Amino acid sequence: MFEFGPILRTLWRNKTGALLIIVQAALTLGIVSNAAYVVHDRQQLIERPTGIDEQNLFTLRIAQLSNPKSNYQDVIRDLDEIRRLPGVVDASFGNTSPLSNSGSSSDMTNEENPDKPVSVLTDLFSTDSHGLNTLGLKLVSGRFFNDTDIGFSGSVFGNGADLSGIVLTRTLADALFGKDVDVLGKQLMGSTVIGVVEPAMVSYVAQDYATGVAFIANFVANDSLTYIVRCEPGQLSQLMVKVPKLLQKLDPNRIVRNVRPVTEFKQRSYRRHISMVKMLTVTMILVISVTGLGIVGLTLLWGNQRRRQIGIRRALGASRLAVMRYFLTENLLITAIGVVLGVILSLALNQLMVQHYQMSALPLSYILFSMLAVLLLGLLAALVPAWRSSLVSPALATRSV
Amino acid sequence: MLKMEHIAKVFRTDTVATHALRDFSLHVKAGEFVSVTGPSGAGKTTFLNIAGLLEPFDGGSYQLDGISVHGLSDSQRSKLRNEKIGFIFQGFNLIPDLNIFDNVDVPLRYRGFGRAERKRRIEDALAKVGLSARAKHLPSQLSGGQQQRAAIARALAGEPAFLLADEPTGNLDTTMARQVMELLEQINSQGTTIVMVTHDPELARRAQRNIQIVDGEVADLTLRQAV
Ligand SMILES: Nc1ncnc2c1ncn2[C@@H]1O[C@H](COP(=O)(O)OP(=O)(O)OP(=O)(O)O)[C@@H](O)[C@H]1O
Ligand SMILES: [Mg+2]
Repeated sequence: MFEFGPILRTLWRNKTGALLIIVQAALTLGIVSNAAYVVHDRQQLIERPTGIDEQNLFTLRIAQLSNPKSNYQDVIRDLDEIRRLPGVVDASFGNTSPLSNSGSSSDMTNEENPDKPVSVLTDLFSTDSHGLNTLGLKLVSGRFFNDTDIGFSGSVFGNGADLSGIVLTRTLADALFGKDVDVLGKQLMGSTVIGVVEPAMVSYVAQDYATGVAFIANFVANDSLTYIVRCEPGQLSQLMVKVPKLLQKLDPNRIVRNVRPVTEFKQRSYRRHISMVKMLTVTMILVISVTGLGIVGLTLLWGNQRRRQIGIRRALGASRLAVMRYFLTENLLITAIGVVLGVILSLALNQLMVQHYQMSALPLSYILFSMLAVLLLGLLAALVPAWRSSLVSPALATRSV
Repeated sequence: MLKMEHIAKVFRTDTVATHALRDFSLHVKAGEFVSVTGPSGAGKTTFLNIAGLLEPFDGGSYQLDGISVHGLSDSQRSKLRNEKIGFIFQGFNLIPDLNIFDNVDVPLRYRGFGRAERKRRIEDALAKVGLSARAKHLPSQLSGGQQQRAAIARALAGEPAFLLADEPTGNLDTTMARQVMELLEQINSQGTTIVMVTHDPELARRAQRNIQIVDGEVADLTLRQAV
C-alpha cells in the first residue's frame, strides 16, 4: 500500500532537494515552537487582569496659569462637580495615571523581626477617599480612607508617621508579612495598616511588583497630580469631552491637558511586548509560508521531472489515487525526518533562551503541537502538486521515447 | 480475449482533428501471438494504448476478457490493467531511480501482494529472463537487451493473461532482438496472449498472425476474417 522502501531508496539517490526540505522543516519547527511559546507567554502577560476597571477609566491633568500649584480646595470642588455629571461613576485624584508605568516606587520594609527585616519593592499610590470606588478595587478587610484621612506631605509618601493609615493589596501584604496573615493594625514604615484590597495593578504594569501596591491618602500638589474619572460603560468618550469643558468653566484660568483613556496607557506600557508579539507572529507566518512554498515548489518540480515515470507507473496499474499517495507519502517521509531534527533544534534554541533571556523551558505541548503543524503543513503543501501529478496520462509511457 | 468493434479514436488539437483509428475492428483469441505492422503514424500505438486501457476511445465497443471497458472508473481501469495486462515498451521504460528488483516490484505492489509473495514472483520472473544476478543493479548499469529483459520480467511478474508490446526490439541490435523474440515466443507457448507491434518483417512473420494497420484501419480484411 505505502511504498516506504522504494520511496526512501529513491530519495537517497536524489538527496539535495530532500535535504532542502528537511532543513526547512527542521528550522520551521525550531522557530515556530519557540516563537509560539514566547508569543503565548507575552500574551498572557498582556492579558493578565489588572484588578482595576481600566475599560471605563480616563485621566487628565491640570496646568495652572497663575498659581503654579493646585489648591486642595479647588481639587475637591472639581472632583465633586465631575461626580455630579450623568454617566460618571466616581472620580478621585492620584499621583499618576493608572497603568502608565510611571509613578512612585520604593522599598517597603517589615521590621517586626529586627534581625530579619523583609523588604519589598512597592508601588506607592496616593489618592483620596474615592480611590477605592474610582479604580474599582475590592476591599478584603479593614477600611479604605475617609475624607479626614487626607494628609498634606511634600512628597508622595512623605513621612510615614504623618499618615493616618495605609492600605495594602493582598499581594503586598502576603509578600511583607506572609501568606494570608491578618495585617490590620500592623506597623509599616511608621504608619498603620488600616485595610487590605484584592491584588491590583495601579501605577505599574508588566513589572513583577506591579500588583504590590500601598495606597496612602496624601495630597501632593505637584505637576503629576492626576484626576481619575470612572464612567458607566459606554460613557467614556463623551465624558472625555464633557469633563474638560466643565473644568474649564469652573476655572478658565488654567489648562486641562493629557485627557486620555487608561487603556491607552496600558497599551503604551506594553508597547515592547506588543511589538515583540507582532514581530514574532510575522516571523512565524513568514517561516511557515517560505517552507510551505518550498515544499509546493519542490513537489511540483519533482512531479514535472517524473512525468514519464508517473506515466509508466500508471501503465503498470497505478490508479490516480496511488500516484497521489506516492507523492504525499514521499513528502510526509521528508517532513517527518525534518520534524525529528526540528525537535532537537527546538530544544537547543529553547536552552539558549533559558540561559540568556530568562525564558522557562519549552513545554512538551508546544513541541508536539508544532510537530503536528509542520507535518500538516507538508501534507497540505504537497496536496495540489500531488494531485497535478496524478493527472498525468498513462499514455505518456508509450508516447514518449 | 480481445474484442474490438468499430473503434474510433480522434485526437483533437486546436486546429486539426486526427483520426488515428476509424471503424477499427479486431478479435484476438486467448493464447494467440499477433504481430501488428503498418506505416508510421498508421495508428499502431493508438490501438495498443486503447487495448491496454491507457487511453479512452471515442466510439465503438471493446471487451477485454469478456469485460466491457466502456464507462469504467479510473481505479477500475487501473486495476484491470494491473491484473490482466503486461506492457513492454520500445524504450524499456524502467524507472531509473529503482533497481531491477524494485522495478519488477512496482506492478506487484499495486496488485496488493504480500511481501513474501512479491519476492517469490520477482525472483521467478528475473530467473525466467536470465537476470537473477542483476537484481540489485540500476537500469543504467545494464545493456539495452538486459533492460528490455528486465522490463519483460516486470510485465510477466503479475502473470497477466495479455501481453502488449510496442516495438519491443526497436532499440536493440539483431542478436538481442532475436533473444527477446525467443523469450516472447516461450512466454506465448506457456499460454499468454501476445500482441506485438513491430517494424521488422522477419519478426512479424514469426507470429501466428500478422495484422496490418493502414490509416487507422485493419488493411487486409481476409486476414481479419480468417480468425
Ligand atoms: N496525443 C496526440 N495528439 C494528437 N495526435 C496524436 C496523438 N497521439 C498520436 N497522434 C496521431 O495519431 C496518429 C496515429 O499515431 P500512432 O502513434 O498510433 O502511430 P504509430 O502507428 O504508432 O506510428 P509509429 O510507427 O511511428 O510509432 C498519428 O497521426 C499521430 O500523429
Ligand atoms: Mg508507435
